[in-house]
Amino acid sequence: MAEAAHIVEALARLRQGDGPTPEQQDDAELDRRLQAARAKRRRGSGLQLNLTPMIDVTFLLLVFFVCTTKALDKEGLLRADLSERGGIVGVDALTLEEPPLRIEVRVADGRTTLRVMAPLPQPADAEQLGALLASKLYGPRNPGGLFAADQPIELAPSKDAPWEDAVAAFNAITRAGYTRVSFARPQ
Amino acid sequence: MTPLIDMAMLLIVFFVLVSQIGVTDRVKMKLPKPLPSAAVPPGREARGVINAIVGEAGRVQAWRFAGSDYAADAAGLRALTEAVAAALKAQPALEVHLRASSDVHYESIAPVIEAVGRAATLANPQTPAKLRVAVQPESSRG
Repeated sequence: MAEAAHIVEALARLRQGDGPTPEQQDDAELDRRLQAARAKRRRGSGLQLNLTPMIDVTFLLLVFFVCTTKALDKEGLLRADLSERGGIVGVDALTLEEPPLRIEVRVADGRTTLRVMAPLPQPADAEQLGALLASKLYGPRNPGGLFAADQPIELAPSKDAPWEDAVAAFNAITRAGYTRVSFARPQ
Repeated sequence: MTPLIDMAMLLIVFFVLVSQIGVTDRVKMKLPKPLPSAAVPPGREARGVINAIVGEAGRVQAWRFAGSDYAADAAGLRALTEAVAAALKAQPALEVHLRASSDVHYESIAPVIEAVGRAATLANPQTPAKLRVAVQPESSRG
């Protein structure tokens, strides 16, 4: 009941208009302090830059670029030899140029077959071709090898051979350790 | 706070540059995927990429090199040879990358391999050109 009486009294005073209520007094005090603080900031070096939006944008860009670069996949490369086509390129008069070992890729009834144009066992697929050529590679570990690593090898896919099969054979030869592999003209 | 922003900006600049390098001359296609692959990752050498633009089943419609397209006929190949030769002359260490879809027939790819060989001889008869066949390594996504 005491509170109700207090409110009624305050309302009566307000109606009469004799001075501010305690709340209004508080507000005025706060206003005064705020203005003082603003004035002080203007005078001093209290100027502040809000960096948060910039950091937000920065991180957004960062995330975007991290994601997009991941989407761009790495590619692998196989080294192909062009010297067979270049004609006079890099021919040393004192070394005998070996005839290239020819390996044909043929397609019959949708199946790809490989033919090594040499008296060697014929491989059934690219994997066997790689194993065969690796076993014939001359080196310190394999003194009975037939071919040096720089033996020119000419890969001759037929006209209708898919690029995939040609590259698979090429890959197998490269994996076996040969460094001079070239593509021949299609027959 | 400042070092953090510095780092973030540095990373952004890095990724902007990297993604620009990656995007150039990369036509989306299904590259051959030999397994297990003997392919080497691309190095820092300058590169000129020849992309095969595939038309109907198994045939190349056009070749894209350095932003321009060349038709897959005699005249187009001659123009392509000249363009590759000019690029090789300007940058003798240039590696020519060949990107062709895995289902293209060899018949339509052979002429461009020959054209690169001819361009290399035209540009620098002394040094053999470097042709690189682009493949998809097993570790990456299609």
